[in-house]
Amino acid sequence: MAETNIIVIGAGVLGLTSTLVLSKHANFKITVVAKHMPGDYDIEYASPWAGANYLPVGEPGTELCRYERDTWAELDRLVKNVPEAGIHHQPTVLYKRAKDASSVMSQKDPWFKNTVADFRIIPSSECPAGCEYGTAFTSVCINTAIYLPWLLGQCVKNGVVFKRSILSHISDAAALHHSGTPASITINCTGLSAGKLGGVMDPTVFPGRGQIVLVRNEPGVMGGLSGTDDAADEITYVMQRAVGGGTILGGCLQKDVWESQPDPNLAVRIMKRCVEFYPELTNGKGIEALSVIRHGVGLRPMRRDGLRVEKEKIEGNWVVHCYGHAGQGYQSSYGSVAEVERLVESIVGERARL
Amino acid sequence: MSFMGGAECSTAGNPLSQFTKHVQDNKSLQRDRLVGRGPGGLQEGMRSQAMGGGQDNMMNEFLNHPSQLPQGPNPASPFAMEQMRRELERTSQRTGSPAWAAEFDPGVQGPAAMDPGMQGPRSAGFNPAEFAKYEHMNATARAASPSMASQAGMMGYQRPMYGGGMGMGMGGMGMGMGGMGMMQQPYQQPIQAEGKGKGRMVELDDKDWEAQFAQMESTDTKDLDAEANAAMEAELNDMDRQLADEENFVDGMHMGDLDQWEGFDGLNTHSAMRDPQLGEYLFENENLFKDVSNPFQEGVRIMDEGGNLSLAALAFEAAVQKDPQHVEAWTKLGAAQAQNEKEQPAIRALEQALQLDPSNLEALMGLAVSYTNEGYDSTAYRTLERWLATKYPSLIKEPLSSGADIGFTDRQMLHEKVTNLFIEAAQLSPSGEQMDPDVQVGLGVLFYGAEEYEKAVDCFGAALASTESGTTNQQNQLHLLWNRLGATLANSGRSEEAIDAYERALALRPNFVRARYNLGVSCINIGCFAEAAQHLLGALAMHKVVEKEGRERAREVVGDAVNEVELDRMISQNQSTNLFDTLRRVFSQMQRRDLGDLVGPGMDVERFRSEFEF
Repeated sequence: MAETNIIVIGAGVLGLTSTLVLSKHANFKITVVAKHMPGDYDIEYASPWAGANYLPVGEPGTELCRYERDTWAELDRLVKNVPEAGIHHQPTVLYKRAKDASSVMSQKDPWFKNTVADFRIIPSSECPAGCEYGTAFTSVCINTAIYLPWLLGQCVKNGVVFKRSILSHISDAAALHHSGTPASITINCTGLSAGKLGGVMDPTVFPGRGQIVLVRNEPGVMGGLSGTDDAADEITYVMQRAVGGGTILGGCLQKDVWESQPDPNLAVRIMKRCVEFYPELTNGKGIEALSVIRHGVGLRPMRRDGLRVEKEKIEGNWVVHCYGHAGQGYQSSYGSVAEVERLVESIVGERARL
Repeated sequence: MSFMGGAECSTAGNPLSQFTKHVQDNKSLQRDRLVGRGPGGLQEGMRSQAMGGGQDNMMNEFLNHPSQLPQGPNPASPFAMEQMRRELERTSQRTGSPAWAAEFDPGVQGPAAMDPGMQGPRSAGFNPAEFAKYEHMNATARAASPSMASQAGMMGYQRPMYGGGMGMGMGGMGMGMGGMGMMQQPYQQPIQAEGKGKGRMVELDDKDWEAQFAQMESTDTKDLDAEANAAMEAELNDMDRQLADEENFVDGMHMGDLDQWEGFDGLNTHSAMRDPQLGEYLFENENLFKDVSNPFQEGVRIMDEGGNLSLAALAFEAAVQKDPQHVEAWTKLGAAQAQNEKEQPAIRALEQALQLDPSNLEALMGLAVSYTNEGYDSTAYRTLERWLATKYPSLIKEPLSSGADIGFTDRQMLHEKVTNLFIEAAQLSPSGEQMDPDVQVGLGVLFYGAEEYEKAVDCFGAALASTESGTTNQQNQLHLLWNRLGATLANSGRSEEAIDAYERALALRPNFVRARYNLGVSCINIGCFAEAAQHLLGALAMHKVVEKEGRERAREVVGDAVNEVELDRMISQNQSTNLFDTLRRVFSQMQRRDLGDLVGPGMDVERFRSEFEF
């Protein structure tokens, strides 16, 4: 049978999701090579630090919007049918402060209002002071500590081989295929590292530093604010992970900042803001009532022109890029990967039958 | 690929596992060396024409040091090489190059034990004209196919008695391997493949699994034993754990196929995407022909007139339901379903025919093609071997391959063996033009399977041009040949020529669904997605003709109590998953996933008429 050898570089959410979807093709033989794998915590490995949740931010008409839209169904299905994937439904409440500009996320009429279930507007009378209105709907929260290993396990079931490797040039990847025959297609899911990987060297990727506090407290809700007063690059959000994953308190979005260590002052501000707007966290008490599991820093893999999903020939070999998803990796994963799959199929072609 | 084939799977301590792997790695080199050892003084000429000069050194080295294999282009780990050298030194057969070399001179009787495949004197069955033609062809045909395959092909075609013996001898050493005859990671391959019917899913225990296997092979049972499946799965999991430890040893090992586990759907993964497979043929629930007095004749008439294939299939289904022993009805049912782009029902029907009549040539050839399409290469080759043994029994000098022959479950060696047999059969005729066209077709399928498309094109072309009367080139079969030629051209990247061939097939048989499917595939490959969709929808529409009639009848029978979804299920036993999958991919390429979501069993083809003409 004509088989296609594929190498995937990167074991973050996009690398693993790409692998999972591609591994369902009987004639694709896949090897994943990565510096970091699920279970690792490292500043170069963004995915484990994410919440993660589904809160679309793509403008209608953009690629991101399309991928976010196409991802919902699968996440929803996993919640309903595959509890071991570590995803659950969560009511989400977003408050729009009067002083903040509007965004996709805080719109009263966002494109995703019919994608998610039970979208509704909350009148200002029911919102904290200073908020014009709120929007509420049932979204999903992904326990990334469970989900990433689950993805990997599903890939293994489909015969995927995983290898640790540190690459300096993308062309070195193909030879690492477990079959001994070089892969004919390489999938580049290197996130922020796409900026320093030989053959790619994308100068437009940059980090969007996010700091979080993971606590044991369970507010039973996900939420976010349209803005904060503390700093322009600080934000407020809360998400309770599935299956005992704890609750993520965030955060910030500091562009071009590579600092890997948590800033204690920022941590305090985050905790204070979250407790203020989501008193369910501590039943009205202060931040001393938060039971901290750990503080964390993740670098969202951002890109000046947004995510990149396209095919390219590098030194004569086919590469399909899938990186630059910033803070939208999980919520656009399946949609992005559908495009990766389409690109791979376009490279492989169809087979005639005798 | 790091999967192991059939019985080569070994437990951790077996040094022969590395040995076999290495045999496969170095095959190309072996063949290169053996090129020069051809009959009658063409050595040098052959080698210089066909090979680079660098091979000479390796050849000499090999002959002078027969106990060692030189490093191949991809040297294995040192450990594996060491193992192999020890194995080689153990075998006394490896000494004395003169005797060994004499193997390959047709005028000299070599030691028979050395080379099971080449016994007895050879006739000068070598046609210089033919050689020149193929030699030229092969000089150019070295493209992207795996080195071993191309080498095998060249050797096989020009030198029927070449170093297949070498490879076989090596493989023979691998025969001593113990361990279970099981697959290492069976879920890797399309086991989800659909009901090949060889339900050999019975439990084997270590000691006498060979005997059990041989027994199973001969009884050819189709029934799945769920309990045995579970036991098998447990054992396979154990194997996986053991073998996972030696993954570093199996890099580069050639993958055998998993056809031994056909019909086994006990393992998940890929099977999740397809229906579970059963060995028995699944009949349509409502058959228009059930009350017709001679449905077989009806079916034949429909086929000959180029009528609707779904209708013909129904007629043949009725015929075998009336008389389950009617072999020809089974073979024609299989043929109709294959042409109707329904490979799994085709395979089930043909296997049924074979159960009733193990020497049925039509069924054997049809199955070989279907197995090839589904990726069951080794099974396809074994089936072709049986075909040849049935039609040319005098050429068979050794037992036929079966799952119990550990050494020959290696797909490549099997391929060489069977190709050699076909070449011998081809050489029985005094000149190329009088060659048995059926042998040509068999050779074409073999080359196609090894991705030696240039040669396969020649074979199918020769069959088409042949004036000899075989089964495959009868007037009412020519459309099949055109399609085979087209598929070979298509899969070697010659899409435009493929389209021409498909058009020829469709001119003969406008209702030839498979050719229409292939036409769609070629359109995809040249980027004409809308046109591809038209062809695929057209093919599906041909299926729908009968389904609509069947649906009306079914509705009559079941009344209004059953809803549409259930009704769909009842009348849609045999679907072409292939057509659905490919159509979905076309819509994906057109960025029309909304259309793709509408595709599937019970789909309403008519909905697409607003956007596509078909």
